[in-house]
Amino acid sequence: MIYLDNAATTFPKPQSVANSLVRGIKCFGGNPGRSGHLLSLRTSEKIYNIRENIANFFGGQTENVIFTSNCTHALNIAIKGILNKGDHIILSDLEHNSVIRPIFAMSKDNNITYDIAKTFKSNKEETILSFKKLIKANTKAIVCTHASNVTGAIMPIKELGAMCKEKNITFIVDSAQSAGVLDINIKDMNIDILCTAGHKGLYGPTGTGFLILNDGVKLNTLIEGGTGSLSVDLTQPDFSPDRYESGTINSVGIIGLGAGLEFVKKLSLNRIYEHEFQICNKIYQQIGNMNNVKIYINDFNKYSYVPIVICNINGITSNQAVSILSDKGYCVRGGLHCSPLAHKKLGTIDEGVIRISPSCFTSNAEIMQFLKDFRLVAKK
Amino acid sequence: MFMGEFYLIFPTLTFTYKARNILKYRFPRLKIVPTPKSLSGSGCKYAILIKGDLTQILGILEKTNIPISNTVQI
Repeated sequence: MIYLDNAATTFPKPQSVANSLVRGIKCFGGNPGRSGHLLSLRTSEKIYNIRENIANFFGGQTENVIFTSNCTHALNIAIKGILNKGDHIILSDLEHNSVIRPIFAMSKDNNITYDIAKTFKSNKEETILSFKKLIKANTKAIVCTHASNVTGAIMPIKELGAMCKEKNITFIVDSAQSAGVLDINIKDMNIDILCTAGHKGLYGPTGTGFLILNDGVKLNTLIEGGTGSLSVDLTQPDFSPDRYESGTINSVGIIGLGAGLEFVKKLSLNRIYEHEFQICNKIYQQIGNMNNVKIYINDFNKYSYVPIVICNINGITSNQAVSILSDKGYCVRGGLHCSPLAHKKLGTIDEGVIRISPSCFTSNAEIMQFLKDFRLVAKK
Repeated sequence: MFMGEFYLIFPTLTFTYKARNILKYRFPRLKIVPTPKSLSGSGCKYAILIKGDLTQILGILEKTNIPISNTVQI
């Protein structure tokens, strides 16, 4: 089997991540922050160290790293936590349903209003202007993906962050496809809330994710409950991370995520990106010459895109192609990738696209084999 | 100078560890402990048990914005 669906979740995971999960179960079984005994304190310290490593990697404060079960969970905490009745929010036309649906649900309840900003590939200025034109007096937040999970297009996050700072608007970034691939510093990029998954480019297990709040950002809570702090009070603590982490956290998963982050740091973002980019470039060069294959990206330049390839085979839907490729031992993804806006923009809302996404483990030999079989499928 | 052995009580374990990591270079014998029931007041809390000059300790922590719930001399 050759796995090329790493934009959904990375596979395989590093051996160090697998080892850490076993160690997590065996050695860190206490409930962190809940009891004063040795096992609880040992687990608490381990979680604290991972929280600190994540904060350092993304330029945040340790206590402002909030663990969640995935990026969707993190985005829901951010969006629902920042918006109040009467507020307006702007999202990009590349957003995932994890952004669109919470906003749509809030707007249906007549609580908030929203606008969708058009993005322009390879034209930062036009994209920024597009957001700027939609800002109203009641615009509370802008939410933008760092990189599209459909096209891979990288958005001008630093410039949008500077604009949000100037306009005093909360800037929420979905970095599900960029964390572990691109350099992110929430201070330098003026990101108020960074949301991401732990199981994609950070190589942690599924069921992990987090958000990082920049200094001074305070949200309404999505859930309330036990935090292991101020337990006599009936009100939720007002300090982070406790305010946003009610209930027992996924400590074993977080330990795996910590090992994943260490793996990424050791390999380096630059090496990971370069390796995956050259693989995608090779795929684009080859499939671009296949008669029966339609490609949608003609400007696949370094640092304009994260390493994702999209295409279609004429005469069959993307899901039919995925099924044929699956029978031959290849794991790629078809359909809409939970991003209907991006597909409407691309003109692929009916058939979807085949998405091919490598990881740092994908070898050139695997890609050559894939391309050989892909050519045969496209010829039929 | 205010020498002695103290409990530094923090609202949450995250701040307790953060403070511990800052103080441990100057006060290597400090220890994280559950706050004694008589001092914990509003429920679960964790404390750093530390020996030294409280004025100096608080001076270090003041620069870090770490909130302290209470300090108690033993």
